[in-house]
Amino acid sequence: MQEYAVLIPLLPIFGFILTLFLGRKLPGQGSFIPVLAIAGSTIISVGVLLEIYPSGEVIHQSWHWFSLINIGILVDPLAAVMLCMVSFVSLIIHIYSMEYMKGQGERYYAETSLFTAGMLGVVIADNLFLFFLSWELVGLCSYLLIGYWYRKPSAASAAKKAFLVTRVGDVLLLAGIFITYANMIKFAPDSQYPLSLLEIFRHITDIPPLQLTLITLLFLGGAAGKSGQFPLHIWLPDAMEGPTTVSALIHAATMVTAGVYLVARTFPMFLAAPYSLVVVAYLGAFTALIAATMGLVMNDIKRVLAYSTISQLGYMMLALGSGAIIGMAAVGIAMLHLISHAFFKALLFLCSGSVIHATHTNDIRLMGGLLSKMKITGYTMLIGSLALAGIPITSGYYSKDAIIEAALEYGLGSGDLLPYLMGLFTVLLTATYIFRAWFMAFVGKSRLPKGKPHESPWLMTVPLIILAFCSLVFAGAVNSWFGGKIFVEYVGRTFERIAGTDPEVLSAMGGYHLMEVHVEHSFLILPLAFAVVGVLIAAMVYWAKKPDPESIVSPTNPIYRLLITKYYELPIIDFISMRITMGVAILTKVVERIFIDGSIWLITQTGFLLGEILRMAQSGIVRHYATAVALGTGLLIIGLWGWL
Amino acid sequence: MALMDNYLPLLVFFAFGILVPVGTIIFIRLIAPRGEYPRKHIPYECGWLPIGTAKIRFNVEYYTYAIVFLIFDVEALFLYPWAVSYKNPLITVPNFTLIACIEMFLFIVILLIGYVYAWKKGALEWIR
Amino acid sequence: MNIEWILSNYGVLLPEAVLTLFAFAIILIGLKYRSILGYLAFVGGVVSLGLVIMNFSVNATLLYNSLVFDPLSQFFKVVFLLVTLLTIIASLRYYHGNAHQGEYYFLLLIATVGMMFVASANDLVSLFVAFELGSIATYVLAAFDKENPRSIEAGFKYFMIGALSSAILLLGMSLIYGITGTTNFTALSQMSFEMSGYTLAALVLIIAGLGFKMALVPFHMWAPDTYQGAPTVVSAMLAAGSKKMGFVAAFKLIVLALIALRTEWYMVFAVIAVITMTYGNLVALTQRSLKRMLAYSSIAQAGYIAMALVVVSYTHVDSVVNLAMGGALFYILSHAFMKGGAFLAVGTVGYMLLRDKIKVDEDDIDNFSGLSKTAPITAFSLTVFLFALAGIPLTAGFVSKLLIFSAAIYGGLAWLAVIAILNSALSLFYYARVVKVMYWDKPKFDLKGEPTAYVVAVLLALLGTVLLGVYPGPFVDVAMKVAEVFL
Repeated sequence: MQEYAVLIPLLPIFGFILTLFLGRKLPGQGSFIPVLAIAGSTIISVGVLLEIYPSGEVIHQSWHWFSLINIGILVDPLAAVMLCMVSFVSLIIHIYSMEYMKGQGERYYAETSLFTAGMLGVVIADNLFLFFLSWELVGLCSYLLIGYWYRKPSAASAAKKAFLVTRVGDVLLLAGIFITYANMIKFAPDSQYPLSLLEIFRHITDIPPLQLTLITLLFLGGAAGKSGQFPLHIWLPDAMEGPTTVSALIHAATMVTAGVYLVARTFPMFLAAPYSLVVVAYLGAFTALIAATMGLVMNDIKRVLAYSTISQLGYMMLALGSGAIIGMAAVGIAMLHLISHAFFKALLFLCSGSVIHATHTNDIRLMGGLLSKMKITGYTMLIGSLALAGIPITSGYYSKDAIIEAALEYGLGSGDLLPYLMGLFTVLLTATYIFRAWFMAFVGKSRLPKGKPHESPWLMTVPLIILAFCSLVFAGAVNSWFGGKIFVEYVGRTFERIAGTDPEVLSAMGGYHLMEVHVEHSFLILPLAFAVVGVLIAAMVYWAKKPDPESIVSPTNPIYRLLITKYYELPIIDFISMRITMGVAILTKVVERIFIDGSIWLITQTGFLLGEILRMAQSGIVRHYATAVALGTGLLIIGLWGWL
Repeated sequence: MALMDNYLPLLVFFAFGILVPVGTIIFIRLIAPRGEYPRKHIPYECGWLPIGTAKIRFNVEYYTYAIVFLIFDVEALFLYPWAVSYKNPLITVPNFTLIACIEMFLFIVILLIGYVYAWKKGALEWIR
Repeated sequence: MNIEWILSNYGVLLPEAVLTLFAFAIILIGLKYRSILGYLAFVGGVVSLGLVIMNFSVNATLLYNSLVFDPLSQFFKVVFLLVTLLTIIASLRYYHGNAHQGEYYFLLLIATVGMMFVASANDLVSLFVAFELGSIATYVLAAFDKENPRSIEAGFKYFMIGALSSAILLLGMSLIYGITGTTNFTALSQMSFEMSGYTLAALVLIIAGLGFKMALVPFHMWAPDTYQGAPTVVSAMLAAGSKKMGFVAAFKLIVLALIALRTEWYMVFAVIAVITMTYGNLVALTQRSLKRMLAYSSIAQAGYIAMALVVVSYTHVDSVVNLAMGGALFYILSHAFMKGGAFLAVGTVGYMLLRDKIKVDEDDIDNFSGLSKTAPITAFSLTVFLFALAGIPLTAGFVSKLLIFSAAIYGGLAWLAVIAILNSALSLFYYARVVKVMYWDKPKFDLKGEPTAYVVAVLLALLGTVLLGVYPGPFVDVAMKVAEVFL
C-alpha cells in the first residue's frame, strides 16, 4: 500500500476533474465518481496505517521542481490517523449527500471532491509550501461551498465573510512561513528543501527562541483563522448558510480541524518556543468557554452546532497547550479528541440535516416531538449529543476526559489552574446547550406550522448509523478499553520517529518544565459530574419546563442580550471594518491611483516614446543597415581600445 | 618585429601591384602620340566598329550559362592542387590517398548531380 | 587501405551524409514527381535525427581535427533538425502543389547540413565554409516566394548584409590566423595572446560577423525586414534554427577558441547584450506586424542568450560557467520551440487568410482579433508561445530565463540580471497585447478551419514548450552535461 500513498490526495483530484467535466452527462450528476475516488483514498489510508502501525515506520517521498518547489508526502503516525479520519468521514458524508443534494448540480460533488483533495493534501504534505497551497485550496473550496446557493444574499455574504476572516489568518500563517524560510535558508543543506518539515524539525534548535515564538504565534494566528478560535471565530456560525452536508464535512469534521492539525504538525516548534504554548492553552480554554455560552441561546439548530464546534476546537487547542507540562503526549490527546469529535460532530450535523430535510426549517423553536416520527435520526442524534456532552461509554467521554485531565496536569504542574477551570465549566455548558437543542427538537409537542415530517431514505440513515457506531466506540476502543493509552502513545511518538527530536532539549529551549504530575482520582469524577448536571439542567428547563424557558429568554435579561448579540459582535466588527479598514483602504487607494498608477503610466509612455524613436533607425534601406554594421564594428573597436 | 617580417612579402606584393598599373599609365602617357578626332570617343569593341547602341538587354539565360561555366571551371582548377598533393610523400596521415580519392570522387559526383539538374531544367538550351 | 577503417572513422558523419543524400534525391526526383518531396524530406530529417541521438555522447575528431563530434555538436544538431522537421511539416501545406518544391526542400536540407557542420566545426576554415553553406541556402529560401516583392526584398537585404558580414568575419579570421599562425580551435585555445590592436580588431570583427547571424544590435537591422518578408515557414526556420547557427559558432569560436581574450569580450558582450535586449523590447512595443514583433522579440531573446557569454567571461567559477552555458543551451533549445512555434502559428493565420481569399496584410495584429473563436488551437498555442517567450512559469521560457538570470546573479553580475528582468517585464506588454486581441476582441474574419499540417507542427512545438517548462529536469541535466565542454 505504501507506494500508493501519493494517490490519497490525487484520487479526489481526478474525481473533481471528471465530475466537473462529465458530471452533467452521467446519472445522478456523477455523484458516484467522488464517492468511488474517496473510497479509494480511504482504503489506501487505512491500508497504509495498518502497514506502518506495527513497525512504527514513516513514509517519506518527495519530488523536486528546481530547488524552489518541492512536492512531497510524509505519512507519519500523526498524518496516518488524520488521513484515515478525513477520508473516512468524507466518504460517509459523500454517500449521504448523494441523496441529500440530489438534483442540485454536479458542481457540488466536484467541489466537495476538490475540498477533500485539499484537506488530504494539508495532512499529507511534507513541507510548508505544499501545506500552504493545500490550505488555500481548502479555503477556496470552503468559500465556494458556503456560497453554493449564491443567489441567496445571506449565503453569498456568509461566503465572503468566511473568506475574508480566514484570510486574516492565512496572511499571518504566510508571514510565519516567510520567517521560517528566512531562517531555514541559512541552515538547510543545499540538497534539502528549506521548508521541508523534517528539515525544520532538525534545525529547530538553530532558530533563535524569540523568533520561534514569533513564528509559532503567527502559525497560531493561521490556525485560529481556520479553526475558528477567538476572535476569528465569527465566520464559522455564518458559514452554516451552506448546505448542511457542507457544514458537516467542512465546518465540523475536517477543515476546521486543519488549524489544530497545523499546531499539532509543527508541535516541536511550539515546544521550543517560549510562551507560545501558554498562549495556545489560554486561547483554547477561552474560546471553548465563550463559544459554549453563545451556543446556549441560539435557535438555529445548525448554529448551535457551529458554536459547539468552535468550543470543541478550543478544547483541542487547550490539550495542545497543556503540552507545556505533559510534552508530546498532548499531540496524541488533541488528535484523539479531534477524531472522536469529527465522528460525533459529523453525526450531529447529518442528523440536523436529516431533520431539516424533513421539516424544511432550521429553527428549533418550530420543531418538537420529532422522536416518534424520526426514530433513527432521533436516537443517533441522542448518541451524538451524549458523546458531545461527555457521558461515559461514548467516544466523547474518553477523549474529552483526557483533555480535562491534561489541563489539570498543566494547572498543577505550572500552578496556573485557570485554563483547567474554564475547561471544566465549559463541560457543564456543553451538556446544557446540546441537550437543550435535542429536547426542543425531539420531545414535547410538535410546533411545526405545516407538513408531516418523516424519516429520511436509507442513503441518509445508513451513514448516520455508521457514524453513531463510531461515536460510541472510537475513543474507548483505541485508547482505553484494551489496556493502555494505545492511540495517545502511538501518535505522541510521531516526532521521535520522523526527526528524532528530543522533547527534553526542545522544552528546555522553550523554558517549559516537562514533568509527570500525579492527579488525584477524585478530581477525575468532576467532569462527569458537571456533564450530568448540565444534562439535568437542560432536561428540567426544556423537558419538564420548570422553570419555564420563556421567563429566562427575554430581551430585558442583560445576560441573554449579551449572548444573543454574540457579545455585541456586530457593532465591534462594524467599527473595525467600517472605520479602520475603510480609512486604510481610502489611503491606499489614493497612493495606488496617484503614485503607482502614475508611475506605471509614466513608464509605459516612456517605453512607447523610446520605441517610436528607435524605430526610425529601421529605415528599410540596405545602405543604412550596412552603415550600421560598419559603424557598430568601428565604435566597438575604438571603445574597446579606449577601455583597455 | 617578427609580425612585420611575415608581412614584408605582402608589402612588396602591394607595392608591385600599385607600381605596375600606375607605371604603365605614366609610361604610356609619356610615349604615346596624342591627337583628337571623333572616332576616339566611340566605345572600344576589339577594333570593330560598334553596331547599334551599347545599352542593350542581355538575355537572362546568358547568366545561367555563365554560372554553369564558372562552376565547371572552378572544378577543373580545383583538380590541379589535388592532383599535386594526393600522392605527396610528405603527408604522413594514414590512408591519405584513399581519403583524397574518395573526397574528389564525391566532389565530382555532387557536381554531376548539379549538371544533371541544370540539364534537365533546360539551363543548357538556348531559348529565344 | 581498407573500407572498414573509413566506415568506422567516418560513421559519425552519417547524419549529415544521409541528409545530403536525401537533398540530392529530392532535387532529382523533384524534376518529375512533386507530391512526395515533403514527406521524403521529413523522412530524411527523422533518420538523421535518429542517427544523431544514437550517437549523442560520441567524442571524435575528423579530417585532421577540423571537425569535432562531441555532445555539444550533437546537441545543436538535434536543435537544428527539430526546427527543420517542424518547418517541413508546416511547409507540406504551405508549398503544397508549388512548382519549385524540389528546390525548396533541397535548400532547406542543405541549409540544415550547413548548420550541422557549423556545430561540428573545429577549425576557422571548416567553420567559415559551413557557415556560408548554411547562410547562402537561407538567402535563397528567404526570397523563395518570388511573386511576392516583400519576399524578394527580404532575400535581397538578407543577402547584402550577410555578404558584408561574411567579409567582416573572414577578415577577423584572417587576422587571427595572422597573429597565431593556426586555424585550429584546439590549438587556438591553448595559445596566450599578447594584447594588441590586432587582437582587439580580430575579436570585434569576428563578433560583428557572427553578430549578424545572432541578430545582435547593431548587426540586427536585416532581421525585422527579412523575418517579415520571408515566407513565414522560412522565418520560423531563420529565427529558430539559422540564428542558433550564429550562437554555436560564437560558442565555439569565442568561448572555446579565443578563451584567452575573455577580458576583452566581457566588455563587448556586456554592452551588446544590454543594448540588444533593451532595443529589441522597446521597438517591439510599437509594432503592428506580428512577424516584425516576433523579429524584435527574437533580437531581445538573443540579448538574453548573449548574457551567458558575459557571465562566462566575467567569472572563473566552474559551476557558474557551467550554469551559464547550460542555461544558454537550454535557452536555445526552448527558444527553438517557442519562436519556431510562434512563427508557425502566425503562419497558420496567414495561410488561412490566403486560402479563404481575404486580401489583407498577412500578419497585421488586427487579423488576430477573436482568433480564439475562429481558430482555437492556433490561438491557444500562440498564447502559450508568447507567454513562454515572456517567461511565464510552467513554460520553457521561464526555466531558460531562470537558469541564465541566476547564472548572472551567482556570477556576480546582479546588475545585468536586474536589467534583463526589467526587460522581461517590459516584454510582457507586447506579448500580452496579442493574447488580449485574440481572446477578448470580436472576430474580424470568418476563417474556415485550421489546416492540419500547420496544426500538427504548431502542436509539436507546443508540446516541446510545455514539456520543457513542466518537466525540465532531464533536459536541464543534458544541457548541463553538454556544457561541461566549456569548462
